[in-house]
Amino acid sequence: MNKSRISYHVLVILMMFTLVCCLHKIAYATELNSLARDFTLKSVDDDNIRLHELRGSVVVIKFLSHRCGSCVASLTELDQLYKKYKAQDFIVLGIQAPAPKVVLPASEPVEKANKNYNSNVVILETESATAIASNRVTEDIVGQLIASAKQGNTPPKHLSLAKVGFPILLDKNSEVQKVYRINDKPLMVLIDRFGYQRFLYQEQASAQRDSYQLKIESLLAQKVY
Amino acid sequence: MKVKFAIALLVLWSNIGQSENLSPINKEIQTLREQVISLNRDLQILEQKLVYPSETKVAVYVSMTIGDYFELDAIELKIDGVTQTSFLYTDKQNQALRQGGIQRLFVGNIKRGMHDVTAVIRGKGVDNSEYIRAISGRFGKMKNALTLELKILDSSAVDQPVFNLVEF
Repeated sequence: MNKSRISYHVLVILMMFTLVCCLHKIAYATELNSLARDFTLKSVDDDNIRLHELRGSVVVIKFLSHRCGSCVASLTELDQLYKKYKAQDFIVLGIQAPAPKVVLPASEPVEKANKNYNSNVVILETESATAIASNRVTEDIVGQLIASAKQGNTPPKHLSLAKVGFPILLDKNSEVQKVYRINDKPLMVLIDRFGYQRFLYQEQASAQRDSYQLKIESLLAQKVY
Repeated sequence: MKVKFAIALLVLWSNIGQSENLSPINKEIQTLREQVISLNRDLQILEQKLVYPSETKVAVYVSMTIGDYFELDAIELKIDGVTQTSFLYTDKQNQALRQGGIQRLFVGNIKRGMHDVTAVIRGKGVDNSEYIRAISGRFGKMKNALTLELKILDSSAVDQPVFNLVEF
């Protein structure tokens, strides 16, 4: 009798846990089959890039948060995938969210500037050597950090540096974030060659890398007649 | 053997019969499709008239002539000092404008009376120089829909682009 009661309670707890997991959407991927909402954003390289003009290519939209220092690792992985599949019409778009405007004077030393931040700041550099930063740092400080990193110095703890080959777009008014309902969480959307959203990933550990790499390969294998 | 041949004939005959029956159904489906498309068009026109009645409707179009002296990057449109819309232009959209395309930049509603319309145009000139120009005009909104055209013209006299905001 006791054993049956215990097993009953265990079963109930398991079911509750499963329900909670579903409600919190801890599941790694959700398939979406709607047309991806169009947008046009300016890139770091001063080009205007429109999503619907990329139809025919498999597109990965990676939403970048200035608070996500761990995003640097996933960006490097994405960049590797981008270089690997670029010839097969594979495009990655990094969309940089604006940070709160805290602009420091240009003369302030870098170390002192770092202490003013209580979150990681992601600084990205594209192959064209154009640097972008969140609005928390001035361009002078970014320039110093980039130069320092090029010399082989490790960037300070609060700052992460990633060099990527794909375009980084600036979502200054957070319009695209609102459209894609990003609530300050890093997110990745996989779009097929026909412009339909196929998979959605919230940033978790790099354990998801195999999962989304498989999905990307399956989308690349899709034929367009 | 004879039985099999008879069965095969029967199956063939029934298929032919079915395809003959399908033909009027196909025609009916085609007719229905045409009606649906026509209805859809009428609904869209009705929707436009309801959402933007001519008493309050204002529309702004963008056109480019030749476009050798200017590459359009962005336009921000303001009516009475309030930003109504902003648009970023890609290379393909620039090309479409150069080939004669006209873009409907904005459609909205405003009250009757005089209004200030300002367009801030950003782009690149001949030598890749940054261009920021603002042109404005004062227009009266009457009973009919107000339709404005933002023209980007090449002026060979000054080797520069010229911008005009006129009523259509």
